[in-house]
Amino acid sequence: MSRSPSGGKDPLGIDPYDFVGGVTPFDADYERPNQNFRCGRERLWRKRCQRGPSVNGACRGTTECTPALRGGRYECRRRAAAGGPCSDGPLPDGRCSHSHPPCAPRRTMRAMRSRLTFVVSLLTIALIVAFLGLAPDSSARLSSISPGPLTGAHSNFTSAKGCVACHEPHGSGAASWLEAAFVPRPEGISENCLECHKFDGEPLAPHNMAALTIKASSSAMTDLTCTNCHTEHKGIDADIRGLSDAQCNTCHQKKFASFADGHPAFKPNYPHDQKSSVWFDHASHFGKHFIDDKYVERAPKMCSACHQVQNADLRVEPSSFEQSCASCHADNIPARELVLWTWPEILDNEIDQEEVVDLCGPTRDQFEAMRDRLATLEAGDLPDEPEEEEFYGVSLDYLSPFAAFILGVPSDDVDEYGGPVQSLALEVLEDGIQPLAERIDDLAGKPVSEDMFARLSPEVVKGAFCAWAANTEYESPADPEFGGWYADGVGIRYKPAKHAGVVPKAWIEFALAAPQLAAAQGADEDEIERAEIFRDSIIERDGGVGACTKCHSVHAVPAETPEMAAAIDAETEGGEAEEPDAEADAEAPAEDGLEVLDVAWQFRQADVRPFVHYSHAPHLNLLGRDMGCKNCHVLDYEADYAGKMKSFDPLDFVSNFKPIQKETCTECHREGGVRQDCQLCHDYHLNPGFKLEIASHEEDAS
Amino acid sequence: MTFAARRLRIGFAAILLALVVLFGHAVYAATLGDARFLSGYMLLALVVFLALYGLRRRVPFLPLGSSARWLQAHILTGGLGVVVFAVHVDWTVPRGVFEIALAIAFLVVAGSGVIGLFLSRYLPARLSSRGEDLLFDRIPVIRREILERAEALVMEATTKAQTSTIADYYSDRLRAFFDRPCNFWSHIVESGRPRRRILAEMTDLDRYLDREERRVLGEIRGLVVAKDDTDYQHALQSVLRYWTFAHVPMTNALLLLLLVHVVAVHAFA
Repeated sequence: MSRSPSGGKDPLGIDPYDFVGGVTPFDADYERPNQNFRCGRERLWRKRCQRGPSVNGACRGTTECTPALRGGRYECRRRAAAGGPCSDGPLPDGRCSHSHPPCAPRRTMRAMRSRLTFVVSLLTIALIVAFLGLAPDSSARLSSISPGPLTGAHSNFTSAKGCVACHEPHGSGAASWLEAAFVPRPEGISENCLECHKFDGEPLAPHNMAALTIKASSSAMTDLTCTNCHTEHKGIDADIRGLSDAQCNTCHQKKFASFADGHPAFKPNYPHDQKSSVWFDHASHFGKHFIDDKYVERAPKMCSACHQVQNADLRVEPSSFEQSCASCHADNIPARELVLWTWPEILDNEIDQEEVVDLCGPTRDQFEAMRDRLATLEAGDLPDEPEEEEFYGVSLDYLSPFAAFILGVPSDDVDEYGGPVQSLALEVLEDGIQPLAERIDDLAGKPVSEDMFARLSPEVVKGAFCAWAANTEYESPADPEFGGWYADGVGIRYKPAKHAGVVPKAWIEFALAAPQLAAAQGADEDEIERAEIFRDSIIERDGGVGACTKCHSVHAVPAETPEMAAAIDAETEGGEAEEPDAEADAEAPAEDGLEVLDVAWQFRQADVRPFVHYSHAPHLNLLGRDMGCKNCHVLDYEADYAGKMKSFDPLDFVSNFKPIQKETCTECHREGGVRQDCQLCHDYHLNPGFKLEIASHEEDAS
Repeated sequence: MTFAARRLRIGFAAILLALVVLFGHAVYAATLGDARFLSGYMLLALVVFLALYGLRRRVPFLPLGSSARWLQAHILTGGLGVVVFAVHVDWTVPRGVFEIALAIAFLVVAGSGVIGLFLSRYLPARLSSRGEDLLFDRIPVIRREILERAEALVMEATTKAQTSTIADYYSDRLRAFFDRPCNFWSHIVESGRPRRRILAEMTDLDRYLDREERRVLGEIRGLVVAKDDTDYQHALQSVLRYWTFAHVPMTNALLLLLLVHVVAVHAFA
């Protein structure tokens, strides 16, 4: 044992350690620091005994030795360090003659630490057991186990059902917890998320698009769940929707550091790669009309005169027709009338005139002839028998495209249409417009005629057909000064009164569907051609009813399949979509790839980039709402905008604005500039929304 | 390898490992993996390994490597554990009641470990610089021997000089000093003022004594120095041991809470 003295000796030359020199630990008092007890006499007398306590903490210092029996005598075995064998020697019964009261051995520091460890462990277990003993649905248990508050939108989820509002339910005991922890369960949290959240497409597929495949660099990516990206319990204000650029780069094959550094250039026509819903030639208006002396006073002075910048987001919608267009184009609408019926040239009058007289009453000529005949009879003479006159039809016109389509006859073949037209005329005389309305509704498969014939007076119809049945022209009692249905001469017409009329809209929608409806009825090529002629007469840009399609875009869209219709119905009713019927499929009018024409009645943004979002609002504020628009939207006076608008293909389109280049954006969105992370412009999900069942959930909860 | 070189190597290894952990965690999170499970199980493994050091010390006879190696690994793993913990809680304060309790347990264990590491590096040098390296459990014996020696000297002086000057002084001023550990905080802060004050008092007493009494007082002065050095050893060695009273018990509590945490996390996954 080292006995080196301290840094120096006492000034008087005394080594303070010489009195303990030469003593080894086991010669001296009992020292076992690795055991649990130490001698208690140290506390009483500042000195420990030679023997020390037992490992169980019992004092062994009540005697100074344990005498040994040798040769029939007990011998003292007191250690030399304690003075050697005593002079008194053991008692006759073999006990030590030097007995002392026992001490109370003390715990060593190691033992005290072990005891503290035991107590702390016990307290911890007690707390855990107490927690497990709480009622499973008690707020104390919920708040104890919850790893943190839910975000604001989800914060009330646990009030009704507790944790099982999102998590899979399991028992409340320890065994149930262990089973739930380590026995795989088929359903996860995602299933519960999707009770409220919905997306267009597969909810758990990458970008909700089942056709997309991902490069599985992580096992987690092959089995996507909502919690891969959205983790809850981060506090009421937490943003759990964030996705890092690194996460995007993980799957996307084209990897880049930032928008400014490596993002692919925008497509050649960006963002004008689909036909706009409203046809408005900015180039011709700004380049020709707005500088014309006749219109210059009415020309807008700034973009915001026609575009509603106060509501700017992705869309900067144009103002209404009345606000933006009517000052110049209001007169175009009533000038484009709808021709419902034209009484055509008839070669043989097959209408029974007596029946006409019964239904309509005699015409003036018939009345005068009858009066002359009666006067002759009253004079006692026999009237002359009327001479058989050669029939000359009152009209030389062709049948109107609508009449040809609805009767299924050629409009210019008088031999073909003569009979059907006159039969229909008799039906109309008997039942008014109803026979025509029924034919339209039967063809459409739904009641559309009500809007098509809205405010059509039966008197006008009957009067006109009575006149034509009697082979005379119809004389209108008044001019249609304020628009609406009227008959004149050999036709029944509709004169649109103002923008957004119900009747033109209904006729255009019926006309657009007419070829497909005819095909669905098993029409032959001629009949389908007549349907297309009728359709074209209605949607003609320059001559169509109300000039609607002069501005409202007509474009081809995929035909709605029975499966799509069933899914939409099920979604609307909140039920399950039925399995497709194979027999119904065989009769379905729509096939894969079949397209129908649609008209854009409302302004809408072309939805060709479902994962891109953009808001004009902050840019307008930053750049200025008038001149600022031109920073990005530059007119292209050379573009064939008008020519491409004649096509029904929405992608066969040329904008009269020049494409926007990526460099326009990187002027600000770059390193050291404005934000340029992926989520600034891109969405992960495809049209996220909520299901209608949310309301019923709330009712259940209440 | 020198101690400094070894410390440098361990420090470098700890930093390298921490960077690997941070990078790996970031990559796993970016690949849409549930990085909380990755960091959680990594932390669980580290804590279990750290706790094994306590078991290793209880079975020194098994050939499991030297205790010094285990201590190095314990320190390295502990530092790494703190980094993984920070990653696991997303560098923020946990929000749930249970999570907070778990975090507190971890931080108490880690904090006491850091304090222990500091003390084990700082105090031994101070202990070696002053007095003899004494066994902590033997200090009461030595203190008792010093006391007995001092009282014997006082009795000797009283008998030979027939005066009670030293006895009175001893009774008034030194008895309490020799009887129990003194000046704990002064020794911790390395202050020699209490020792100098007693020695100065004894110097003042010198002029009232005859030659024999001065010789005895000189020997008592030496015992005062020895007792003060013993107290110094006792104070510093106590501190070296007391930090384990937080570190070891809370390690057990941490392991129990971790067990519940793992079960709860999987049950609600």
